[in-house]
Parts: sequence; structure tokens; C-alpha cells
Amino acid sequence: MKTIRTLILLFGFVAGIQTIGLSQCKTFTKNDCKPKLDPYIYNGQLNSAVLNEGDFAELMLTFYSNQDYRIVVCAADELGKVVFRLVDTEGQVVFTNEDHGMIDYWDFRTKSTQQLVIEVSVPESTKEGELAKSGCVSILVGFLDNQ
Amino acid sequence: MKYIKIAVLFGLYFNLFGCINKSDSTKKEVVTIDFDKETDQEKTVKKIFFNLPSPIEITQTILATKSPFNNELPNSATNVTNYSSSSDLALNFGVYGADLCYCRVYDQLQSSISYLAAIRKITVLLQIPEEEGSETINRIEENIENRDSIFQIIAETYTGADGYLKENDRDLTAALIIVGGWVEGMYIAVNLLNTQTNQSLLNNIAEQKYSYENLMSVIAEYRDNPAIAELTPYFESLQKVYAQITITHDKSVVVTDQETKVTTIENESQISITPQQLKEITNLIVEIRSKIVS
Repeated sequence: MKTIRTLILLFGFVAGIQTIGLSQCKTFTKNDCKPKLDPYIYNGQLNSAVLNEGDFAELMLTFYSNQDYRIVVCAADELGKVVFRLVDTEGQVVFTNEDHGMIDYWDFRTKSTQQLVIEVSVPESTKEGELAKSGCVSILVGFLDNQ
Repeated sequence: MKYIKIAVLFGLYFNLFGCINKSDSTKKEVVTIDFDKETDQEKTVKKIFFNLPSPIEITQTILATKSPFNNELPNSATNVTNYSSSSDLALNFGVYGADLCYCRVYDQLQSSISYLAAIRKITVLLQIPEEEGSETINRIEENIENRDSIFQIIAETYTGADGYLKENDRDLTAALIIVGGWVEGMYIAVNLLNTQTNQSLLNNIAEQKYSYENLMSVIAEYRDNPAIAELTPYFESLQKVYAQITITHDKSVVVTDQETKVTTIENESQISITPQQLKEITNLIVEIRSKIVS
């Protein structure tokens, strides 16, 4: 019984931390990331998570033909410069910010509707003995009103 | 390097949160059994939020087809009084969201205001706090003349409601809103195609194949919900039709116009959808939509 209680307390503690993390992520996204979409119109999809240094994350998005898009990959300062790549369904890399001075957004359009995978890599710390850092990473998509 | 998908991180959050909400008498079972179940469930929900287009995007692509506005297509805002269960309210939150976007892109101001009022009512009934829903809607009324502001505010409304629901372990409600929005966007699209031949719109309907696989994952996860259970046979039939539609792409080439500085991913796609498949999709969407709004 004691073990069960301890387990539940532990889960409650971790869940509390996760709740705070998600809430802070939402605030970070609203204040620090969404302004970077301007003048593009935010599509309303909230894709954010707390990542640790050395983590790799990916997600798949659908982009519609002849729409102008901006993708913003926005990371908390403590994570440093985050690498992001767009890869098509054949595995071909169509963009990486490593070739563009680690810029945190990319503007583009697609000739045909297609799915692209966004891969995000958080760099690992080179300093030994430091605690692993973690922070919010948000991926936002905006489009232009072409009318 | 560790390889962690975002979906798993969100899954961790929800499975932990799910565990502590269970009754004391089943604490041990909850910790050992529900952990995996909740992880898979949330993983699926995150995936759908990545892949299903918001109502804003659907109506934007419809507008690109230059179809005339049809005021008989949206669900009447007065129907809002017909919905009382949380599932019906959530599904029709999505429906009205798509209708609002459809009206707004055609500058139908009076209709837009009616849909705003309906959404506000549902937001209150779903107990989404003012600052996450209705407060934002007030701003829409103040900015009704500015299309870009409206899109931004609608996007914030969806994000706010979505974020609030997920933070409060109400991911089913969040998923129902998205499903309702998807169905209404499709309903508008298939009906517009009934009155004209438009290859762009036809392609857009076929391309929902991308969203559909993820939609079915959510339908499967929540089939115990009575509202979802009622719709499941129709969605399964729709799945069979979409499985027959083929979309292939040529190799991607990224080209930047030196004058405009616009970068384009140039590749052609080949879409194969037959008139019979379109007819079946249309009939099924009409039936699903009827179940949701009636």
C-alpha cells in the first residue's frame, strides 16, 4: 500500500511539473514565437513541447498547393540554436537552416499539395559536468491571404 | 543522440495526468494498465492536430477556387439551441468554426456575427473560461471589418480553446472540435463541386486523404464515445473510398525566384479519383454532417 501511495505521489509530482511546463510553453509560444509569423496568418495549430538538449523531434504537416507559407521553429534561449530540416515523403531534404545561418523561419510555397516532415534537433552541450538543459520548442505555421 | 518524438512527450504528460485522476480503489491497476493506453491515445491525438487542417485552411483553399458563396451550405446559427450534450456541442463548435471562416472569407458580415454568437454560447456551455474563448470573440466583433485580424483572432480562439482543453485533460473535446470542423469543411467543398466542374476543388477533396488516415486513428481511439460510435460506420466506409484514391509526386526541386525572392517546392502530383469515388465521398459526408448538426 505504501508503495502504491509513493508511486501516486511521484506521478502527481511529475504530472504537476509537466502541467507547468505545458502552460509555460503556451505563454512562450504566444509572446515569443507568434510575432515571428507576421505578416503571415497563424493557422491556429499549436505544436509545442518541452525538449531537452540532444533531443530530436519530428512532425508531419500537410501543405496545400499554391499557398504561401512561413514555418517558424522557435526555441527557448537556454537551448541554443536549434537545427530544423524539412524532408519530403521520399526522404529528400528540401530545406535545412544549417545552410541559412541557423535562421529560425522559412518562407516558401508548394506547387502541389504535399506532406512534409519537420525535423528538429536540439544541440547537446559541449561543457562537461553541466546539468542537461531543457526548454520549450514551438513549431508554428502561417499562410498569406492571397485574395 | 536520443530520439524522442514530440507525440511521445505529450503522451507522457497525458498518461501521468490520467493516472492521478482515477479512483483510489483501483490505483494499482490504473498505474499499470492505463499508462500504455493513455500514451497511445494521446500520441494519436497529437498526430491529428499535426495533420488535420484547421477550418481556416480549408476555407482558404475553397476560396482559392473562386466558387460563389452559397448561404444554404452553413449550419444555421439558430440550431445552436438544439445541442446539449458535450459531444454535440464540441462537434458543432468545429462546424460553426468552419462556417464562420467560410462566411468571413466571402465578407458575409451579418452571418459571421451570428456564427460568433453561436460559438460564444457553445464556449460557455463547454465551460471554456472567458479568457480562452468568449473574450477573444469580443475582439472579433471589434475587428469585423478586417479580414486578416479576423483570421488571426479565430486562430487564437481555436488555439486558446485547444490549449485549455488539453491542459485540463479534455482531449476528447478538443478532438471532437477538430473532427466537426473537418466534416463541415468537406461538406462545403463537396456541395460546391456538385454545382460546377472545378479540378482544383476536386483535387482538394482527394488530398484530404492525407488528413483522413489520422482522422481514423482518432475515431478508433474514441469509439466508446456515443457520438463517435454513431459516426464510426460512416467514417469506416469513407476510409474504404479514400484507400482507393491514389496520389503520387514527382521528385521535389526547390527553386528561388531571384526577382521576387519567393522559394517554391516545384513538383507535380498525379491524383486519381473517379466520379464514382467522388459520389460515394459526397454521400457519406452529407450523411455524417447530417448526424452531427441535426
